[in-house]
Amino acid sequence: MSARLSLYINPRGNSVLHRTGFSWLAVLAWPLWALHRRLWWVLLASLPLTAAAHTLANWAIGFVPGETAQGVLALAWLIGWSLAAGRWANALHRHLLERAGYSMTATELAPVENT
Amino acid sequence: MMQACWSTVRAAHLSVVSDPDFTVATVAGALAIFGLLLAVLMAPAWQGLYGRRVQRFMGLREVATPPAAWWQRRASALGRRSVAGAGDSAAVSLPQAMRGREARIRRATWAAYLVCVAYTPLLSPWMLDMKFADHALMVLFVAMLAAGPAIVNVVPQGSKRVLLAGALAVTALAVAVEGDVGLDDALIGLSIVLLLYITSVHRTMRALVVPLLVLSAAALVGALAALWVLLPLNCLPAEGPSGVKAWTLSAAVLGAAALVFTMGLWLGARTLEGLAALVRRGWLSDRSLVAFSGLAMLTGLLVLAADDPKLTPGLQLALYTGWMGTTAAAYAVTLRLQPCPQVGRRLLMLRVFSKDHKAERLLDAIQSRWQLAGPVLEIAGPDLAKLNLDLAEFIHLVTFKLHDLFQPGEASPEALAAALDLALDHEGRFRVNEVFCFDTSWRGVVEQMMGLADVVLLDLRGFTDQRRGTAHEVHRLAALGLLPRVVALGDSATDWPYFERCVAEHGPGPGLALKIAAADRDALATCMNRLLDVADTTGRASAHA
Repeated sequence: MSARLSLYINPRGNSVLHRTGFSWLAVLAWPLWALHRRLWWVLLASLPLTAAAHTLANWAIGFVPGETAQGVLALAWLIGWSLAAGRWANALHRHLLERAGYSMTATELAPVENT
Repeated sequence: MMQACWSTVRAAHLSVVSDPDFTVATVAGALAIFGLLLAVLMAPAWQGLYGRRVQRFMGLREVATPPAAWWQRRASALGRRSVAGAGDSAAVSLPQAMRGREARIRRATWAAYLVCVAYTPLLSPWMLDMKFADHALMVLFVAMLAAGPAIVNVVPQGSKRVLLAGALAVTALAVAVEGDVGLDDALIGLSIVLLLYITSVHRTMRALVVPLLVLSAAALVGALAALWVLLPLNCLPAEGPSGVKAWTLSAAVLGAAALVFTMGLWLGARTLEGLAALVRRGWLSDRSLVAFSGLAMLTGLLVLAADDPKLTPGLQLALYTGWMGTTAAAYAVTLRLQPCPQVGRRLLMLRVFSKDHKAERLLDAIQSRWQLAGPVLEIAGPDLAKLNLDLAEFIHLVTFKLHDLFQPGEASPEALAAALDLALDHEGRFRVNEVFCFDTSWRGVVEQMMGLADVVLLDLRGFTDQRRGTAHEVHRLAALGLLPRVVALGDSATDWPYFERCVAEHGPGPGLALKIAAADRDALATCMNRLLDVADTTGRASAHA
């Protein structure tokens, strides 16, 4: 089992489920991932940030000579951006939880005992 | 520019509204049928997801104690009712109380059923081109289809395929009498009957289809409203927006459409929460909710099928509310007119988590019957997940908050009691209390529940020395001297010598109340009778103490 589930609880009694590892939802659309995790500020920031990053990349790719090279670079940028989102999304989530005062209360350590 | 845009929007609106096929009844009927179809198609996926999630969360282990605020928050979110004192516990025996409550619900259900069927002829004046035989067939159709939800309310366990066959036969008969019905219309009719069966009768799907129907109907209403909000996009030039004003208009319209769609979903979620609050407060049970939803769908579709042009949407609404209102009133009044014995005894169900459907069926029958005798306590597991999935659990699942139901570690007896619903509801049933446990909490919770229970059903089918969890439960029952309260179920795979060795480790003491072979034809009846006897004796002894 690659991704591990953990329960985080803050002193006010709010609980949040956290999943470690790669996030395919963040690869597809990280604003959607932020919505799923109820990270409202990340969701709000994600839209202009994504737009700005893509605009900047588009502008930079424009300096590369040749349409084929530009196309390959644009594709590589998109794949890289998505994979980076998938790789770092859950780590960001844990970082934000710990900053907000949540601490790990339960986690997956061993398989369920057969009752 | 604004005026031109407004005219375009009005023209687009009028072109849809002036279509003779576009009526309130058509839209409402389409929403109901598509909502139902979506709900039925989505139900198995949600069911599977629920089972997998429960299984996975059961593997979590506590690494730190949750703060007191978490327990308080959990208790207030569960909002359990307080238990009234069992005033007549000495006067009425448990089997008598159970029979009394069962008869009370049965009478109320059949009264509501008869009222529902008797109301059907009121629809006849609004049905065009129908002969007497057609009207009689319509009443028979309602009688057949309404029998499903009614029987579910009285005998919830077990398959009801005979009812489905009957309803399909009546539909086929109606098609044959009509004569000129095309194959596609006949298939649509049979599909609607099948959908209604799944909504209100099918044992494992019915609890899930109702909330999914509310959500999918809300999503469809939201999508329809959002499409309306998109009408101003017609004002943009055909080649797409250009200039700040056009882009602002597009963004505003798209934003408004997203907002309207979200509001539709929000309304659906609020409706579900309202229904869950009714169940939580004891005004409805999971069963009566499903039964009334089935009737509401059936009567709603029939009212929408009335084709007299003089029947306005207002009249349709009045007919529908009258139909459902009188049915609900018949149920409530009949319940109120009969006394409801208050005595109840707690049953703890301990079991080997097996995936055997036969094992599931017997446990389902016992827990369903016991709800008339007292609250059922059990550890939630993947085996009964499909059968016990209720509205509150569904809401936790769709809001990605299922983990909130789980108990990470051992809790105080007060915290456990706050998580249990031990009170009798207004209909005269108790609840099945599933306690969701992480791997680090179930042992402590089971022991606390042993202390709360008047009687224990120990399902040892498939019990061997490999089943360490169940062996732990046997050890604790023996150590606490509770075996005389235990009725054990076994089968050919049960390793009884190993069971005896586990018990013997705790020294000589009283044995089991009864051992039953699950394969026996009368296993259910024997099991229920013995459980009732033991619970009654234990309950009376505790009351005297």
